[in-house]
Amino acid sequence: MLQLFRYRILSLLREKTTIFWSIAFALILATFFNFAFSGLGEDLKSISVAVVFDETVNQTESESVVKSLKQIESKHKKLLRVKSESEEDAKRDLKNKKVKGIYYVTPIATGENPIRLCVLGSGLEESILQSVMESYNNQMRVYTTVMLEKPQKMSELMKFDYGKSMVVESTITGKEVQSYTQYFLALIGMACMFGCFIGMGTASQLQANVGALGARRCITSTSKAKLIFVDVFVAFFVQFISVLVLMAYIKGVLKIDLGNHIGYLVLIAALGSMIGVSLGMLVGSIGKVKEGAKIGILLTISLTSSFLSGLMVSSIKGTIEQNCPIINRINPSSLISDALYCVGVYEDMGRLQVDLLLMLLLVVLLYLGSFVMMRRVRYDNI
Amino acid sequence: MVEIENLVKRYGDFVALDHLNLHISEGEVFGLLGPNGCGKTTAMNCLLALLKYDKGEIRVMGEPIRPDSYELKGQIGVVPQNVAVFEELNVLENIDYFCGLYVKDKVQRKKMVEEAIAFVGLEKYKKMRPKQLSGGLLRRLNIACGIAHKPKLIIMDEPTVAVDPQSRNRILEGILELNKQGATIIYTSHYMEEVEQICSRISILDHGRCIATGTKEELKKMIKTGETILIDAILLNEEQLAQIKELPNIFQVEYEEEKLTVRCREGKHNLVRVLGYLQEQDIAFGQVVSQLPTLNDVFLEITGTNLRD
Repeated sequence: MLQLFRYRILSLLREKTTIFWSIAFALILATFFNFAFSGLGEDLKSISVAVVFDETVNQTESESVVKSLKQIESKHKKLLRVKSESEEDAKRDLKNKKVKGIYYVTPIATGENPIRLCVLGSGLEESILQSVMESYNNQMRVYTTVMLEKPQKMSELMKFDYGKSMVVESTITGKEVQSYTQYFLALIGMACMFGCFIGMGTASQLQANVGALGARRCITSTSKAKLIFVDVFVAFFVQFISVLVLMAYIKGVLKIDLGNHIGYLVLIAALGSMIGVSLGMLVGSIGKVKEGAKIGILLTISLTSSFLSGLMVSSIKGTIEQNCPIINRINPSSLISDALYCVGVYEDMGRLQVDLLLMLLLVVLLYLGSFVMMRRVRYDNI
Repeated sequence: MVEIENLVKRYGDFVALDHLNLHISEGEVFGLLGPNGCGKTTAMNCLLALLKYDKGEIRVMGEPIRPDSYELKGQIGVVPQNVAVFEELNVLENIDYFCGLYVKDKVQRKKMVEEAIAFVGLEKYKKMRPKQLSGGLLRRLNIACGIAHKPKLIIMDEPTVAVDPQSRNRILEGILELNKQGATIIYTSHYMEEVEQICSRISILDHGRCIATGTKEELKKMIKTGETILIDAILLNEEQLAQIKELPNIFQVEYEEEKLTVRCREGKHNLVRVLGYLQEQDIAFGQVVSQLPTLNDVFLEITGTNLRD
């Protein structure tokens, strides 16, 4: 028996294509995700901007503008590095890329927008400068209107902090959540689903009507039940380890918060791996379908499942939840990523239990289906 | 050793095996000869309890064989037509794996694996993966995986397909050696020369039916042809062909593309008489070949078609 386990593990681990899709592909994708998302909102550096005052702007007004601009913060960091200078110097600095834009300031009383922006290109930093300008101009318009129509309210208005956001982003548990975490959770779901390729290979080597190797193994003195047990266990084991490696990489190396409930993470990895492997076994045990077609079927199922769970568009899962929630209840990738979300973000054990139960139900159904196909010992046609 | 009685296997309307009867005794090298698609592999798959069949009875070593006849299956070794090994395991590991499906004792298995490797001459290739082996070596590996556990009954389904002559000879010699060591062998092939060379008894299959069974000598005695004479001759007319057919023992004369084929019943001086007639008629002739009957002649006379048609 141990010898059977040993050789099955060896043959699976030496199968380069399987190993690539089960382990390497997900690790590579996780690394790419990390590159793509790293620094979003965290490493934003202060943007240099020059301020050129119209000669009619008095000193108090100019000092007030510079002070206001310097006070703007994002995530406890100063957003702008403000430099007051002559138009000539400002244009030279802009040309030499020492500043990203020039704010031209005119007196408020003129009735026009007090700040105009001049930039040389378009990008994130230029967009931020534009946003700041629009915000400042709106604020000044409000001040002017109130001053002209209800000057008695002016003191109240001065107390109001326009820079402060009215919306506070928060989770139920109060945990800080990165918007891109969803992609990594969906990726884990996809990695579980890719276990279907190991499952397909396993089924084809157990069925006499699928391949010569399957036929040869069916006519030995070792019972088919034992062969199925060894092969299925090894397929699950290799897939399970692959998913754990991916989780460890995402959590330990990429520092994505998956929560601290290791037991639940392992349980989700186990159930997810079982779903992937058993789906592959079910499709793999179909007798008269070519291997290429089976791979096509499995790729379609696993990628569609991953897409619907938010691997490519993070908002899609929410849209489905609003319009057709049943899809999220039967889509394995969605169940896996949702369970991970419950563990890592919501800490919602009730919802997690529902997810786990649904996953278990899928496992039972898929395994039953594939066992019915594989347990056959005599065939109509080979 | 093997009894197959009235075996019928249908694929829809197509009858693959039509009341097939085979009786194979212990110690035989039994040949199952027939063209591609005649039902040889189907018969073997039924014998191994892999295929369902519609009617009939199969007994191996006196017992009916079922999918769960594991003890019985332990006495059988199979060399399938298509090479069936793990691509990711090397030669040694593959043989050890398949031997391990029959033999649990590690020490005994190790010895058996080494013997099987030596038997098929793969000592130098132990660490090689199947894709690194040539077609002939791969076939030898396929054989080693089927015989390493020293079965009493070995079923070989066209084991020499696409094999170079050197490997083919080695395989055929190996089969005779296995037989000498006590194994009963069922050898299916559409190569009549191989079957003639190694089989002690032969059944000829056509359209799922057994059309003749016996030793090669017995099979050849079943037909009229005792000798076939082939002569390259030019400008023979219908009258001369008719006169050749009138010579003693000759029952069939064919003339196509300046090649004269004369089939004679068993008898003496057939060749001398035909050549004498050609000289007498001043007919120029070139290469002359005289053949004793082959299994193809047997097949041709019974079915009207050549084995390789």
